[in-house]
Amino acid sequence: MGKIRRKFKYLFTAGFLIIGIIGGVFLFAYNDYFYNTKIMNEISSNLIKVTEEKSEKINDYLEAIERDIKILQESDEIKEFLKEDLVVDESVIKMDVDERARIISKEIENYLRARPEMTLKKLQESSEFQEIAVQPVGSNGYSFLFDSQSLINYFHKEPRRIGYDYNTMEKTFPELWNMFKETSKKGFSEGFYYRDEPDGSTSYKYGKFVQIPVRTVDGVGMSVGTTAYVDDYKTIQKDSKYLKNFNKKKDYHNLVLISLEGYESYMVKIMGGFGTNLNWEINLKDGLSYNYFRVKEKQNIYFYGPYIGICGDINPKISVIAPVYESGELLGYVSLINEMDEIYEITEKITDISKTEEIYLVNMDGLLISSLKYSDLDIMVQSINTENVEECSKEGIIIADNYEGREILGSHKYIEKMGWCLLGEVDKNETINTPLRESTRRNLLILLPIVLILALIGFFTGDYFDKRYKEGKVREFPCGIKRKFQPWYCKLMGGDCVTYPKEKCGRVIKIRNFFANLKLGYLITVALILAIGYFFLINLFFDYIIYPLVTFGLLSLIISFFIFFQGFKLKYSRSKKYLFLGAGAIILYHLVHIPMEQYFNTVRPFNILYWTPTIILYILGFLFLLIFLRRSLK
Amino acid sequence: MIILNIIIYLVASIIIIWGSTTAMIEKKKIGLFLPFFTVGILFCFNSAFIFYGLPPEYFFAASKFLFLLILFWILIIMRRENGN
Repeated sequence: MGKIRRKFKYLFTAGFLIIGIIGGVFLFAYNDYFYNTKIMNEISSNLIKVTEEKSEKINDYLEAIERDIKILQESDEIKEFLKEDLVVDESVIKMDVDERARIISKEIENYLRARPEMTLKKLQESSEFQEIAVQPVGSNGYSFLFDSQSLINYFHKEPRRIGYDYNTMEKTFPELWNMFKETSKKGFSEGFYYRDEPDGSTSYKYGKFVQIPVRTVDGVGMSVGTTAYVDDYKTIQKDSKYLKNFNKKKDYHNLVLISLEGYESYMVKIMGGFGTNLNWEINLKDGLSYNYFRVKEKQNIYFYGPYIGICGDINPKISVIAPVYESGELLGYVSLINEMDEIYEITEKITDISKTEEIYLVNMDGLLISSLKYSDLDIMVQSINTENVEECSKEGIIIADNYEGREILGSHKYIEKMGWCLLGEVDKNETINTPLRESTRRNLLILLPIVLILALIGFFTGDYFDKRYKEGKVREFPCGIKRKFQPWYCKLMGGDCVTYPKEKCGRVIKIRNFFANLKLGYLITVALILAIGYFFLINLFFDYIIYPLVTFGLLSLIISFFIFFQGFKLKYSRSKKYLFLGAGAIILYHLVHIPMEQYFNTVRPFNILYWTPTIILYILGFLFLLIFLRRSLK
Repeated sequence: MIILNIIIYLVASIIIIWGSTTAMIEKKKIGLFLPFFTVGILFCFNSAFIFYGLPPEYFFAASKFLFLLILFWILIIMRRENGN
């Protein structure tokens, strides 16, 4: 080791710089820890809380509906209604057939407009067009297509009717023939009529006939006929003020009574499906029909939804159906239908977790059933197959990709009554990573000048001592406080205290001498104080300590200090600098490595590349110690 | 990036093992350089562990304990050589 004289400014600069850098490393580590654990935990718990609150609200809403259906289930009025005989209702068939005619004629028109190159022959060969042209109506009814002018049938359910000329019915079925003629002239007609059946019988039917405003490329103009059997539609011919008031007061979309046979026999508000049977093929795709079959099988209250009604409905609805008994005998079923508005209100209500929060619902098939705030994916169409949906039945929070592949913090809650999953998600990047990056950048901007200022302070302080040293001023204790320190210093140095000058200013302060003369006990005390202080410093930053790692690390640190101080005790030799370098590198390695190791094990693992500088330090430490030993033995 | 750490450990272990072995032969003092030889071997182990994946926590603890012993060993050697 060379003379310390005139080198204070370098030592102090390096020392202050290292202190600044170590402080900076701690600050960055703490900052990272803060955002990755504390803020993430805070957001996670808020997200769980919000998801739970919203799911509770949805459950409360569903329970209120369940309470209402239970009241209706026991209602004498409903029991009396369900005991009533069902009556064939002509007004109902008219409503149903008219609506079907409107939909089918529009579908055909759209098809022809989209394919203007289609000839009649090609249309007859197209199975796709056949499916649109010939659709079921009611239980046994159907739609068909015929030439608007010649009245020749081109598309029909019964093959015997294809090519059939309706002009031949002028005398046998004059009502029907008149309607065909009226359609040719006015563009539409409707009415009740009699018609022969394949078995030779005659049935009473209702039909609506509409001309299609688009012709085929070969100039054929067609009309669509939509017909159904009057006997198929049955209702209860009675009205209830109680049920109407109940529905109005509770603000339900509709209240429906379903007969034992499956007829939607009573509705508070007349809507599509009234008087039809839920067992009909045409109704099987309807959500109400699906729920009816489930209740019929299990004889229990069941919720289902959301679903879109089959008759031109656009708003998703939920239904609850309950079986109605009297003295153990099943009378029929009562159903409450409601729109999803209140549920959407619950999911869409803004909370203050994060700007990127997204709370939405998916059903048991993973289909999106409520709208998204930050995406225009269609509800009832788009599937959501994310990890957050898969984990729905489990408690807790996950970090996974969302439906767009962005990394999110996600919570979930299963809504048992409906089989839905309520999902809460916030963008991890926006919520944690971006503020962390900003904070790191801000800290870096603050820290850099601080570290530089510290280095400057170190430089000037060292320079001051250099000058004082040169002038011989620090060779003695400052006279003002010397008396206080002299006995302590004398004892510490193991000097001859009897001959120690008591009246004059004291001996020279030399760092080298200070450590060289320091007794082993004091050395251990200093090392222990440093190590314990360091232990508590680490404790401040981490929630828990991995004791074997930290204990061995700290003990190694103490021993490294001893090795370092040992250098001062050695007689002057050129190889001594390798001892200081080696022990210093090992000390520095431990100072940096211990908190890094804690962070890696308790907060989150990081890239293995970050270990490289500490590994190099450690290796250099041992290398320098080896060089020292080799050289000192020459 | 793992490969970088493996190379560093391997190169370091070769240098330290070589240095300590030649020193043992030249100076005829095995005990003095044996801790360094052990350090070289441990570095070699470390590179192997990095290659095969990080070992369990208790192995880290054992490894740290070994390094602690070696440092203590070196301290004793230093004090003895210095005569105090």
